[in-house]
This record gives sequence, structure tokens and C-alpha cells, in this order.
Amino acid sequence: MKHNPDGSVQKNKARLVAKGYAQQPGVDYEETFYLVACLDTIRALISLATQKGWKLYQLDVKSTFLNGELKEEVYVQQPEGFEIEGQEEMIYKLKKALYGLKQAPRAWYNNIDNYFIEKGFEKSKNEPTLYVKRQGLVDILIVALYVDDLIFTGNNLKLIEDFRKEMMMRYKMNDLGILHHFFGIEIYQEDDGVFICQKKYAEKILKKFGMFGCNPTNTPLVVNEKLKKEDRGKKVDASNYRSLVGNLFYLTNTIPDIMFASSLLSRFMNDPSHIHLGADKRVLRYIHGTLDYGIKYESKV
Amino acid sequence: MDDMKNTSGYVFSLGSGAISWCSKKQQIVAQSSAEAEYISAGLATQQAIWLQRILEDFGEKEEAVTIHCDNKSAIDMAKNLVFHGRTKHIAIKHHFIREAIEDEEVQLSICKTNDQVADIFTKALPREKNPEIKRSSWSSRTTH
Repeated sequence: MKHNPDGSVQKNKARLVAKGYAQQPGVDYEETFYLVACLDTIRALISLATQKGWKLYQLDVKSTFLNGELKEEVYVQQPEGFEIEGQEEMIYKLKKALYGLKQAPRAWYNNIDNYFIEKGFEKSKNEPTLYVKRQGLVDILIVALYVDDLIFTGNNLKLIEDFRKEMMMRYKMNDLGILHHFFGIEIYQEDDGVFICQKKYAEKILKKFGMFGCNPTNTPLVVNEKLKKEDRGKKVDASNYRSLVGNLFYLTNTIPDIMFASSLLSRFMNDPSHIHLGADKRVLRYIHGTLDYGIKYESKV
Repeated sequence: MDDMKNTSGYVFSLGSGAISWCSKKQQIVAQSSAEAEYISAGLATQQAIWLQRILEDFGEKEEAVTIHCDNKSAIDMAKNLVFHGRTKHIAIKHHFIREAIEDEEVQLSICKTNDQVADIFTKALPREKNPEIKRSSWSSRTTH
């Protein structure tokens, strides 16, 4: 089920999923790793585009992984309840990837990578999901692929428009227009610059851990407090602790202030005590106190 | 924690905003604060070179990246000005920073300890003492 921002139901979704867990390496799939642009690259792109006065745009691919063509021979049983009468024993051979297949993300990446190269893009040697197309001496179009999101910018509006049209013809895409939200990060493109933050995500995490409305603090950690692995404190649920640390790490994408605290606290994930959890909660109180903060890339420096 | 290992940290800004940062516990026990800073400067140099290449992909021609380090001895080590006996135990991989300086990919410059913005990635800092500044002045964030 997909919800609108106000909580009402936008659409019901059903998806056929392959039983990827039954696949055998070397037989049913070869390569599975998937490449993701690191956020440093995305932030560098945002900062550069802001200084140049370029707008950033976004397309998202519908049913991304169904676009991947399979190199291997993969067969699936007929889905339960949808068998063809009299041919229940027959199986399907897959031409394209299905969600759940181990190689589905890889197959998608190969597909779009080939397409970009065909279209005259040059792939970055430093970031395999970054593509640059140059036209003449000055015109440039930069595309960053982030799983099923395409973020693009450049100095030539026609190049940008043509790219958008071609992509929408080649793949099933949602045109999201100006980049304003991706991967849980809010992006505000304004006249004086671009502001990024994770306020909505942070609020969700505060609520999840019962800390929404708590007393804020000015710093993420207590100065001079020495945290130890063995502190004789009462032990707490490790999986809850791990999930909290994971959420904190995710928030470091726009909150560098908690980077040190998050990596420090991650060292206690194996056997956390209530003292460690208390330190985690202080970080949440700091986040609460700075919900309106984010990183600003100014257009004039 | 009490295993005597230091934490490396860096932050890079492009224009007015931070784009890349890191806090990473060092793998070895440094024998001096200068050595710990030297290892951190090395980590920052690796990232600086990578960021430069990304910016080149974007069509930008970049000059040497300036890395602000608050330890004079570490800078001297990087410029190869320190008596060999004090540095010969440092693993060779950390010395590639010297090459990066020679090739003018990075330059190291000294900054005051109090001005070291990367400190937030290596230690727990106190609140800004000046009550006029409600927010910690060391944070790299601002409001909308």
C-alpha cells in the first residue's frame, strides 16, 4: 500500500517476487554486488551546481529491477493461484529480472550503464555511478545514479530536456521535476542557495524511540565522560541498540555533528548497557534541539 | 576508549557547505600526538585527492586542496623536515602524503587548535562558552 503524505491510501501495490533464497551461486547467478554513488559525490554535485546557478533535477525509475536483462538462465515456478490449468507442472524461463532475484540490482545497473555509454556519456573512473556528457567545449550534463533515482544537472537546458525525454521513452519513469527529496534527505533549492536536512526522518526516529518532545541538549556527548565496553551497567536489548545506532549513522548524512558520537557508540553494539543507551539518547536529545538545522550551500561565496 | 588508539577526523567544504566528513578510529597506537595527526593528515589527503578527481569529472580544474592541520610537527613530518630517527617507525603507507605535497595535489597549512573545525570528528566538545551564541559554534550546520 502506498500512502499520501496525509496518510490516506494513494494506491495498492502487488508485486511478483522471485524466491531468491533458493538460488545457487555460480548456477543461477554470478555477480550480485551493486554500486551506489557515495553521498560525498552527491553533496559535491549539489554544492557545485549551486555555485554555478544550475538547478538539480530528478527522475525515478518505476519497477527499477524489472528492467534488467538476465545473462543466466533462470526458471521460476508458476505463481500460486495463477497456474495455467492443465499445465501446472510447467515452469517459466525468465528473460528479465524479477524482484527477489539476487542478480536483479546488478542486471539493472548493467542495463542502464550500457544505455548511458550508447548515448555518449562518459563514465567516471572515480565513481562508477556518475556519468558526464559533454557537448562542444562548454556544455555539460552530469548524471548521478542512486539505485532507482537519477539526479542530473548541467549548464544547458536543452541537453537536460532532451535527456529527460529520452529517459522517459526508454524506461518507465516518474518525472519528479526539481530535486527536492531523495534517500530520506530533504533538499530545498532556493534563490540564495540549496539547503539540505533530514528533519522529517529525524522526527520519525525520535518518535520511534519515544524521544519526541524530550529536553534538548547543546552537545551530542558529555565532555570527559569515558565510555567503556564493560561498565557493569545493566545490559539492554542489543538489537534495539543496533537499530538506534544504524538510524544515527543514517542521520550523519546531513548532521556531521553526530559523526563522532555515532562511531563511538557503534563500538558498544555487541553488548550494550543502559549507560551506552543513555549516551545514545543524549544524541537524540541533541538532534531534537537542532531539528531545524541543516547544511546550506550558498550560491554566492 | 582505553586502548590508546586515536581517532582521525576530517571535513571538506566546497563553497559554503561541508561536503565530505569522516571520523575513524586509527588502527595502530601512535607514539606521539604528531604521529597521530600525521596519520589523520594522510587520511584527509587520500580523500582530498579523490574529491579533486570527482570535481575534475564535473569539469572543474582544481588547485591544490588546502588541509588545515593544528600540529606543527605533523606538518614538518609531511614536508620531510624532521629527523629521521623520530619517524622511521611510521609505516611507509602513511608517507604518501609527502608525494601528494610534491605533486601539488594538497598543501598543509597550520591552524590554531581552537580553530580546528575537524575537532568535532575526533572528540566530545563542550558547548560554546559565549552565551550570545546559543548554538555550538563548532557545528557545520545552520538554519534554513
